[in-house]
Formats: sequence, structure tokens, C-alpha cells
Amino acid sequence: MTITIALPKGALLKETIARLQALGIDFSEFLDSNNRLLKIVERSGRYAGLLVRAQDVPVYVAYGQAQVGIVGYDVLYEKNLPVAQLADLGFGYCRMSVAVKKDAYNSVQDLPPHCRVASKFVRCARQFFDARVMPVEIIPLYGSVELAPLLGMSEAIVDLVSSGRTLKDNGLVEIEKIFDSTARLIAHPLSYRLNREGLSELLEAIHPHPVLA
Amino acid sequence: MYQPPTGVRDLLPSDVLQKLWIEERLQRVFQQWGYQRIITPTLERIETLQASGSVDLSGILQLRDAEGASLGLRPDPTPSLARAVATRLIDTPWPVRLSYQTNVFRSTARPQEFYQAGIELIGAGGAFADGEVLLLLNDALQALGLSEWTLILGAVGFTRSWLSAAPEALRPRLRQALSSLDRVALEAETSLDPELKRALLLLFDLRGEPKQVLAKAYTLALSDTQQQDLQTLESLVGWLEAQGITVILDLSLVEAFDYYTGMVFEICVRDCLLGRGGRYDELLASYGRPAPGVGFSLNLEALQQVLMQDKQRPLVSRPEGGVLIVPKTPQAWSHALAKAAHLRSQSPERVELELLGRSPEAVLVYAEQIGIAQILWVEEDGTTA
Repeated sequence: MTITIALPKGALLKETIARLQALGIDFSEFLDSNNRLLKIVERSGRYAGLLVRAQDVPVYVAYGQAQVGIVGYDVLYEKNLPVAQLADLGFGYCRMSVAVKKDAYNSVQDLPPHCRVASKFVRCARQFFDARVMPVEIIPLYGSVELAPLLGMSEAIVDLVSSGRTLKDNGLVEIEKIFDSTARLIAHPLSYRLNREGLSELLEAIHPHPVLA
Repeated sequence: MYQPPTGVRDLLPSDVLQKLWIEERLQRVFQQWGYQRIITPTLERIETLQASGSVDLSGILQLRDAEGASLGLRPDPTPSLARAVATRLIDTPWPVRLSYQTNVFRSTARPQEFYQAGIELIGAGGAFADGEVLLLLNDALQALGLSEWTLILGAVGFTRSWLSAAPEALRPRLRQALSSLDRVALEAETSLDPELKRALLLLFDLRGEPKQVLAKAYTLALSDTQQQDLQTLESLVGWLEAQGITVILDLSLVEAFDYYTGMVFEICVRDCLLGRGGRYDELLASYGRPAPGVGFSLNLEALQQVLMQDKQRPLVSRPEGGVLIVPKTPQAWSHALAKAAHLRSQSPERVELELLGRSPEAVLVYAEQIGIAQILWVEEDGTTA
């Protein structure tokens, strides 16, 4: 049987493919701009790759359609699905932050109660403000989140920041970091426990653990 | 349109046939091992369901009675059974062997209803009782024709004893990390004693072929109880492997919320989880009558899915055969009834009456649709053809 690996479209794809390629698992066709394939079976037939949206990687893994996946911690946190989180792969660094219009507020504590917070990461935002016991209204948005405070639709946003340029160009500033995010190696929990088709060898090859015993 | 809410469904007659096929086979095995069927109420008081303090309240579908008391739809048959044994079956000698086939409810993102069949062995502790439950499980799966199954076997008591070496404030987080297989969270735990962290990471990775896992586990610095836990596992593995059962020993197998105290297990076919079980030696005490207990439950939907994949067809096809009795005129009706009554007394096969006055051509079509080959036409004078 083949082991199916879910690969995230977007920022993490190139490094993900490079890491697998270093193990002789070649999904580089996914990087070809002419490629329209969503599933590739690698030459040996032992591995298949699925090219899916980053948010969908944990979904395919949780439902067992892929045994292995690589995806950012931000997505894992937001989706909150039952997948085994086996290693921090260290690449694709970014951070989940609260940002506001420049000079509007100095810290999260300064935000008025019942204010509006726009975010694509609804669960992250909800959990963060709940933990602070700050009542806020979350406005789900799915792109150009930076617009919300500029137009006055929200007082703050919760969003991923990597270089911080988009924020800066739009006159926003980070006031607090919620968590750091990097790429994670995930697996279907039951497949991981059962370890069929040498799954653990693959996981170990992708991210070797130091010998413990 | 009127549809049931997501997460619950109708079982149409053909679905019920499949379900009964499984239930009857399981019931026969349960009975052969001396397990008597019990039916407990669908509704319990919330206090009953959470008496053990190890139930996730958010997973219970709750409602209120007329007086405002909180009630819950059973998320799991075991607490109700434990309550019944502790409070109602006082005179039954130990051990009490009970089985059930019942629906359970969960409050996830959407409410869910599904069916479970299982057994509980209450009042007997130790490896022999554990062994009985696992061997009975094997018999039950054999009776369904499932020979290629895998048991993932763990020891909650053993795993928990390592967690209890950690500061109390950290324990829930560590347990959560183990139960959700979050190795990254475990590695990121900076406030943990390095020696303990090393042991927990080792536990996290300790799974696979039983002999190898046990050999590695024995290299840890073990207390007497931990030694005993491993010895129990060793004997269980021996009995199971003698039956040809594939066992994966998994010393990180623990749930975020549960009442298990000793061995725990998951039952898998291919990558499908069919059920789980384990030993719970503290649950009965929460209902006022301390006693050890052990049991398992199987999910009937998952079983049915796996069995149908194996057979590539339904477990039972729709009933064929029987007789359709067609009174040719309204005056033939009483003769038709008498004929039907006679046939029913002669054979267990179904006998149906044509009620809608169909034409002879339409009767043939109808008989075909309901899978009846034999048609009996009844004349006014009672003669049949």
C-alpha cells in the first residue's frame, strides 16, 4: 500500500517538496507552473502526494485520506482537528499577532471592551481574547484583513505576520504576539499507532529524533 | 424539506437488517460467555454521568426536566451500567457479567447518535479477568467473520504513574499531549525535570511489537507497581498471541478524559477504529460500591462498514420468498384472510395480502418489487390458483 502525504499549497510548498526530495521522494512536479495535477504517485509507487490548500491539510490527515501531512502550526491551531503532531520542522516561520492602526492603541489591554476584531483565524482570536477575559466581537474575513481597521470596521486584527511589511505598508502595527508558528509534521493518529507500511521510518526520515534510550 | 439533524439518521428496513445481523451474532457470543443483557435508561442525571469526575461535560448532550434538573443523554453505556450494578444488583454474587446493545449520544460540533454493543465484567480484578474480556472480544469478532484485526494495548495505570511524577499543575497538559499524540508540545515543555521529560518522550515513542516494547520499558527505572503493570501486560500479550491476535503494545495510549485505571485497548481493522475498552477499578466506588471492572464497546456503524468492505456486498440481502395473496374480488376477501391465516400457521415465511385492488398485470409488477415469487389468486368461492 502507498503512504499518502498531504502537501500545503502556498508559502510552505517549496521547502516541503525540497525536504521530501532529499529523501528521494519526488513531488517536484507540483512546483511546475503548468502543473494541474492534484495527486501524484511517486515513481516507486510507495508514496502519493496530495496538493491541497494549507487549511485542508489537517482535514485530509484527520480523515485518514493522507497518513502524513506538513502544515503550519497556525493552521493546526485554527482547525483544531485530531491529528498527531510529531515534529517542529523549523521552517516557514511566522507569528500570529494582534495589530491595530498606528498610534491607536499601545497594548491589547487598551482595546475598548466589546470592540471588533477582524480575523481569518477566528478560533485563535476567540481563544486569545477569552483567555484575557476581554469581550470582543470577532468579524471573520478571508483576505485583505488589514483593510478592516483602516476603514474603521474593526479596532484590531488577528493575523499572521512574517516580515511585517504588509502591516507597515498599510499603516498598522503589531501590539502583541499570540504565538510563533513554524511548519509541523503531522500524521493520522491511528495510522501512526498502527505503523503500517513503514510509516514511522518515513516520519523518522523527515525529522530524525535524537536517540532517547 | 424535513431532514433529521446532521449527526443522526434513519435506519431504513434494509439498514436494520444489517444491524440485526451483527447484533444477533454478538449477542450469541456474549450469552455463551455468561454475559446477560441489561438495558439502562437513555437519560441519566448529569450527576450520575459525571460521578467519576472523569467525563468531559462538554461532550454530553444535555436537557432539562420540568423541574429544571439537568439531564444528559448517555454518552457511553458504562457509567449507567456501573450505577445499576452498584445500586440495584446488590444481591448478585461477584463477578457480574453484563452485555448491552444500545444507542449513545455525543455533543460534538453537531450532536451525534450511534450504536454500541459491548460487555462489562464487574467484581473481578487482575490479569485473568482482563484476559477473559480480550478473549471474549476475539470470539465476538470471529463470529462476525473478522479474523484480521489488531489490538492496540496500553496500560493507563503505568502511563499515569509517570505523569504523576510531574508537578500537579503540568499533569493535565502532559496528559493532553500524550492522548492527542502531540510530541511537539511535550518537547516544548521547558519547566519539566529533564530526566522525567526524557522518560515521557520515551513513553511517547514506545509502541510496536510487544517484546521489543517491553524490553525497552524494562530498561526504565521502575517502581514495584510499574514492574507489576508490565508483567500483567506480558501475560496478556502471551494469551492473545497464542490466539493469533496481532497486538501492538502502546504505552502512550491514554485519553484526556476517561475512567480507566489499568489496561486499555483499541480495536482496529485496517485503519478503522472499531471500538475500545479497558479496566476501570475506581468507577464503581463513585456510585457507592467499590469494585473492579473491565469491559469493551464496539461501534456497530464502524463494524458494518468494515464487514461490508470485506464482503463487497450487504451482509444480508432483502428478504425474498413468501406468498402474496390476491383476492380477485371484494367478495373473496374473507377466503383470502382465512388462507393467509392458514399459511402463517404452517410456515414462518411471510404472507402478504394485496390491499389496493391492483389489476393482474399490476400485481405481477408489485410482487416483483417486493421480492415475492409466489402469488396466490383467491376466487369468490374460495378456490385458489
